[in-house]
Amino acid sequence: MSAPTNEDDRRGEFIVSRVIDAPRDLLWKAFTEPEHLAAFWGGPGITVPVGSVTVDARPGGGFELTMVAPDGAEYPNRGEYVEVEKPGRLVLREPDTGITMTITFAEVEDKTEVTIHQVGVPERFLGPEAEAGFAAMFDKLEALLDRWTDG
Amino acid sequence: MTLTEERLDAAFSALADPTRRAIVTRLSMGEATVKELAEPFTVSLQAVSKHIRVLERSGLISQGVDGQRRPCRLETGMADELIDWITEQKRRWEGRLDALEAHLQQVQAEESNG
Repeated sequence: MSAPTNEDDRRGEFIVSRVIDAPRDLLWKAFTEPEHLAAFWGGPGITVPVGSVTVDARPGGGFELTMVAPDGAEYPNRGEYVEVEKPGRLVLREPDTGITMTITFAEVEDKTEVTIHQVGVPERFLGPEAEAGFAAMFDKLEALLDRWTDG
Repeated sequence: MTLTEERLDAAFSALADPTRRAIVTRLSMGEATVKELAEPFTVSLQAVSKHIRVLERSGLISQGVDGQRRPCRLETGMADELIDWITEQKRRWEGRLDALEAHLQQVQAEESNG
């Protein structure tokens, strides 16, 4: 098939990483202090009012902010810190989406490598209905296709 | 019969025909227009269109609404949706890291200036 889904995909697992020209302590601050989070969490084109950011960086503590799209639409983000190990590791869980992100900071000479390891998929990809959607049909078809293309 | 079994039945009866199997094999390599799909066959465009309608009814393929082109594609439903969702999540993180990089550059420049 054009887009087979492996086990990692089914769990919504992926890794994104980047070496950033800044010391590790500054990266830690960026991910745990409201002024910094407000400056980058929305990404390009999306703003995050500093006043909307609440951070309680300790296990069980909350993480909350509101992303505002160019058209004014507001998207609240709510999370909970699962692990907080300064200055190298943060684990955040979003109870609304079932997503868990592990964010690690590693020193690479005088720079810092930030790695995000995300796992979890929205509700609609879970449960028996979704299971039917991923259907055995495609596994069988895949096997058939392999046979035709080999032959 | 469960929904999955019904779909399987429809799929397999559609695939009983060698021309339709060839069409599905071709689409497993990427989308194609009816004309492109008809090229390797000696049968008429109309005959190929008919095969495509059978495949479409079985839920195996879908035909797009991209203007005159109307490309056909293999329908992998939920799997495609999930891949799209993951791609979007990755894209969001890349954008966030772009913004982070720019922000920290600015912060450090301000620190060294003042």
